[in-house]
Amino acid sequence: MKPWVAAMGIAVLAVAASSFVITSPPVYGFCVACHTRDLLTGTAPLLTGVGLLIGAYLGARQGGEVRPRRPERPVAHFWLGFLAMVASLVALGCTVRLLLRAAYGDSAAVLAVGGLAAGIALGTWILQRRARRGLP
Amino acid sequence: MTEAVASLGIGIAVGYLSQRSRLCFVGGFRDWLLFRETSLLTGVLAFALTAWVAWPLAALLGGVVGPLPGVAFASLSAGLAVGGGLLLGLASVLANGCPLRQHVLAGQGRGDSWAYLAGFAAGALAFRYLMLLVVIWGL
Repeated sequence: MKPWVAAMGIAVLAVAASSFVITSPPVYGFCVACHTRDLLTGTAPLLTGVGLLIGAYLGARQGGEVRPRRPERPVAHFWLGFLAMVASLVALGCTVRLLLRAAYGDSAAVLAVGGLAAGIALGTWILQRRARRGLP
Repeated sequence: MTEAVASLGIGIAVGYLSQRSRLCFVGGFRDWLLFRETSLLTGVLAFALTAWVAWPLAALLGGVVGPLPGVAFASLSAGLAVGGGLLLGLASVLANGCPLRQHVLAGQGRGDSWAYLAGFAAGALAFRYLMLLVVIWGL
């Protein structure tokens, strides 16, 4: 499936969920970070993260892409996940919700998407520098 | 209960679509910077554009979205937005995918993504209790 086709479907689902199901706080129908936080802290029973794992497994099984692999750098990834969650909660949304909010017209989210782009550029620069030095 | 069922169903649908398409919200810009590859980037742009069109359409159909928070502490929230976004982009590129993509990779069996999700959960709890401490200390 082309990424843009999937993305359009996801956008419609997320907007519909925000408009008709989870209407408060605003633009809250889909968020990978906030919904996981709400579930873990007992604020709201939002099972988005669990659903993602199930849906991804089903898709991977259909395509023959389920490949259990041992973690190679578990400690580094643990802290990257930690950082990503804290950053998302500070910016008031994961990558998906930031774009949803920006599309809704939230100026703070437009700023956050700008920060996101800068962070991606910085990360990519670090990757390139590592690759040039032959580091993993 | 409605929320639980809806979020689970939407999660499954989004997880399936993301897995079949390899969609990643940081991978788009990263791949363009690294290889001038636009396949994932068109996904990100299509998402933003579709949402931009879908918001008013949903409102026409009777959808209700609560008001956006006011502009109090505007400069603080602007700084937090930019800083949070920057950190999120950086961590996501180094972890090889945005939070959504990490869930998909974990569903496919990538061990590093399970370690990432453990950190993701720990981050949520740490942030909550740190905020509580700050609030109590502030009082």
